[in-house]
This record gives sequence, structure tokens and C-alpha cells, in this order.
Amino acid sequence: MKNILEAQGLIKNYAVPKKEAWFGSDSLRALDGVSLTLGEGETLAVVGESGSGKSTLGRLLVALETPDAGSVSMGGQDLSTLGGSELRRKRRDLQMIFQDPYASLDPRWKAERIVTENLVAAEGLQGAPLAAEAVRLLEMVGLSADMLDRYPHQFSGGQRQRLAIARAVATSPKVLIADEPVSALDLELQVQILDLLKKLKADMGLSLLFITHDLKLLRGLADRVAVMQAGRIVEEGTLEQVWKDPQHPFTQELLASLLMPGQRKARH
Amino acid sequence: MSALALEDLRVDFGPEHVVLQGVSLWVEPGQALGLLGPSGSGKSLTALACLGLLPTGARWVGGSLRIAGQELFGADERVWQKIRGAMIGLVFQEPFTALNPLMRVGEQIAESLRLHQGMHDQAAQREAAIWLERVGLTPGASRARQYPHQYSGGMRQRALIALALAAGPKILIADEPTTALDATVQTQIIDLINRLRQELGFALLIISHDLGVIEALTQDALVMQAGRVVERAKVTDLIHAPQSDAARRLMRAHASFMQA
Repeated sequence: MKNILEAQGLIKNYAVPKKEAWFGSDSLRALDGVSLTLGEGETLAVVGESGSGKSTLGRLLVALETPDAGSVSMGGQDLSTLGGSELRRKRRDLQMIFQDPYASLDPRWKAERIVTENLVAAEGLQGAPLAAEAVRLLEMVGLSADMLDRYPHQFSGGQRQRLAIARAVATSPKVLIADEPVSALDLELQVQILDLLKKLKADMGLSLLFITHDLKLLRGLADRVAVMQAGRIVEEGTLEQVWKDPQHPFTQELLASLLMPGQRKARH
Repeated sequence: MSALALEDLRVDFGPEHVVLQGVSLWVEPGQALGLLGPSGSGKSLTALACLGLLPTGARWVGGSLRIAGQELFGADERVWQKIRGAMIGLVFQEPFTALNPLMRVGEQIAESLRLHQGMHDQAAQREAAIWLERVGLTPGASRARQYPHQYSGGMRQRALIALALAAGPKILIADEPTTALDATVQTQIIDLINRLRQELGFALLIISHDLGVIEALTQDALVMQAGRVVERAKVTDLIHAPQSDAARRLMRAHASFMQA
């Protein structure tokens, strides 16, 4: 399998307010030397808890932020060497969705404008072809043409995530990075959104990097898993390996924390 | 006498928009009851009604709520202020918004003790530190002097549990108390709630969309859908033989994560 996305030795520091003082700042190392590869058509899950650096990793991979050291390359091209217009072109191939679709959708825009935003920017599409494309995108994610005129607040949480996904796949990207895309949803909607991602992945040949704190979502979704703790990848393997034979104590703890109905002794 | 008895609760946002269509539930002293349902089923609104905290625009149009025998339908805010904290505690999903960011954590617990138990300042401060230790925030005296932003998410949820229980309520309502937390922290908070129930004997109404969380905290549960209770069952029966459409769909969702 050819690699579509590669990260080499990523390091990222942030200045954070001092915990025990009123002023001053400490440097927090959010990423401490992370390397990973995403194969063409593959789904790689990055699993970690809050503060593990997994969201920072996601932002670096789509070049929303730049690393202090290390590099990200896509299709063999180092993203840090790209200028503004080249990077914008690259973004067509590299899209991201987030946990809170509401925060990522402009509340003043109708669905039609939201899902076609990237198409207008990237391909200069307009008029009737653009309107037709908006309908096609909505239907592709399980929404309907009569929702084109709705504003984000008129959609439910699950529908909003579908809208965000439609916008992300509008430019037929090669790579989709999904940062906790179902964490704000209830169980049934989680299943629906994951099914949608699997379908789009199969239909469009997407490579998917799925960032989550929740291991239970990964069965039937991920090919490989990278477990992050304190800015490092502490374990990496196929889903099967990590699930059945976790090596690192933290991975073992994550698996032991899963609450699957009927699968464990009640804790009370 | 039930710790909490809710009978035929009806809430609407105007006559055209009835959101709770006659919800009844009883929590017996010391018992734990789970309230399950998808988002929008009315479970959180039911919890808010039990605390007299219906959102703006919502109208309580019918039904009875008794906490330790006292009827609270139509009670005014003065009555509710005596009930909340002292008789019934609340823990919900966002521990950060529930804590006052400008006040030291210990002071927030001490305030509740002064208000509801008539404690004097120094005794309340000492008791607040003991409460923080009880929920695993040690050493209590120095944790008490910190502000919420100096706590991690799990620590804030522990502090919120201490705050909810400090005035000695007989029932705790926990609305998705672990949903925003990491998996390893989630199990720690569940273990904490179970241990505190054993030590203190309060009743628990636990609300979640996740049967795994409910199972870890109780054996009895109700399932809500579209503003109604559609099933009352043992958690094991919900898992192995769900009857209602809502429970079956929930189990299908769980199963799709387990098998795949």
C-alpha cells in the first residue's frame, strides 16, 4: 500500500499560563516526536485521552498549524514548503471534520452555501452547476434537497455533522481527518455517522484518519490504531493486535475502561 | 415514602409543542434508578423538572412531584432554594460550567454548608476540606484553596459531586455525569459514585444515553422516547430482551460496536 500522508518526528510546544501563579507562562510539549503514516484507502485511528496531543496532531496534519520540528508530507510533498496558493490547492485533497459541527458551521449561511463553500473557493463553480452539486452533496450524506435553504440551527446535531461531512467531501479529497466526529452525539447517531463515513470512504476511495478518545467506535472502522499518551505514540498496530493483545499498560487500561453492556461485571 | 415520586409529569413549550407527555417515575430511598433514552427523548428535561429548573419557555402543565413527601408542583423559587442542595443534589455533564470560576473550590462547598446546614465559617471550611478528601481530592485543605481552572476535568467532576452531596441530600440526580470525560476517568467517577452511595446511602437517578454507564451504576432502568416512558425493566432484561422500540434500537447500536 502506498502512503498518502506521512508525518516525521513532529514536535509542537505551546505556551500555557502557569498553573500556580497569576502571571508568566510555561512551555507545554503537546507533541513529543510523533511519526506516522496513512496508507492509500486506509483508516488509521489515533486514540488518546484529553491532553494526549491527538487534536494537535490532527491540526498539524492538515497544516492548520505548523510544527516546531518535524514535517508532514502528502503524496511525497512537504506541506511546510508550500506557499499560500499551493497550500489552498492541497486543501482540496486534505479535509477535516470536528467534534462540534455547530461551531464549525457559519450560523448566517444556508446549507447550500455551506456545502459548496470549498467548491466555489477551489473550483470557481457557480450558477446552475453549483446548485446541482449542492443537491448531490446533501443527498450523498443522507440529507435532502429541501434542506438547502435551512440554516445550521434548523438542523439536529446528527444532521449538522452530516452537513459538515458534505462540505468536507465536496472537493473529493484524498484524505479526511476526523477529530472526534461523533463524540457529541448519542449512541444511535454515532452508529449512523460512522456508517456514513464508511460508505463515503468506500465510494470515494478516501483515506481516513480518525481521532478519538473512545476505543469502542473502532471495531469495523479502523484498519490500524495508534495509541497516544503525553504527546507520544505509545503503541501502534492493527486493530486486531491492539484489541486482542495490547502491549502498553495505557492501552490495557483504555480497554479495561470500556463499558460494554452485558460484557462485564457490574461495578456496583 | 419514595425519595422522589414523579407522577404524570406534563411539560410543554406552548399547546402545540408538548415535550413531556405524562412521565411517572419513583425512586425509593437508597435505590438507584437509570433513565435511558436517545437525545431529544425528554430525559434531561425530566431531570430539570425534578429540580424546579425548567428552561425559559417551558411550562409545567400537569402532574405531581413529591420529594420526601413534599408536593412541589407549583412551588415558588423560595421553596425550591430550600429543596435544592439540601434535599436533592445535581451533577451534570459539564463540571466546568457548574462551578463558579471566580471562587475557590472549598469556598463553594463551604457556602452550601453554611446555607443549608447553618454551619459557621470555620467549621464549614473544615468540613469542605473533608468532603474534598472523601471524593479523592487530596490533600483536601490545599485542594480547597484552588480555583476550578486549576483542576482537570475529572477533578472538577469530583468537586461537583462533593458540592452536590455536601448538604446531605437524600437523592442525587446525575445527568450524563461521565459523558464528557475520558474513558479511564469515566470509570473512576462511576466507582466513586458507587462507593459514596455505599457510605452515605443516598438514592440515585442516573440519566444517560449509554446503557454501559447505566449498567455500571444500577440494576433498574426506565427507557424514554418522545417524552414518554416506554419501558421499565431490569438492566439485564434490557440488554438481553429489550421490549420497546427505543430499547431495541439502543441495544442494536451497542451491538454494532461489540460485534463488527
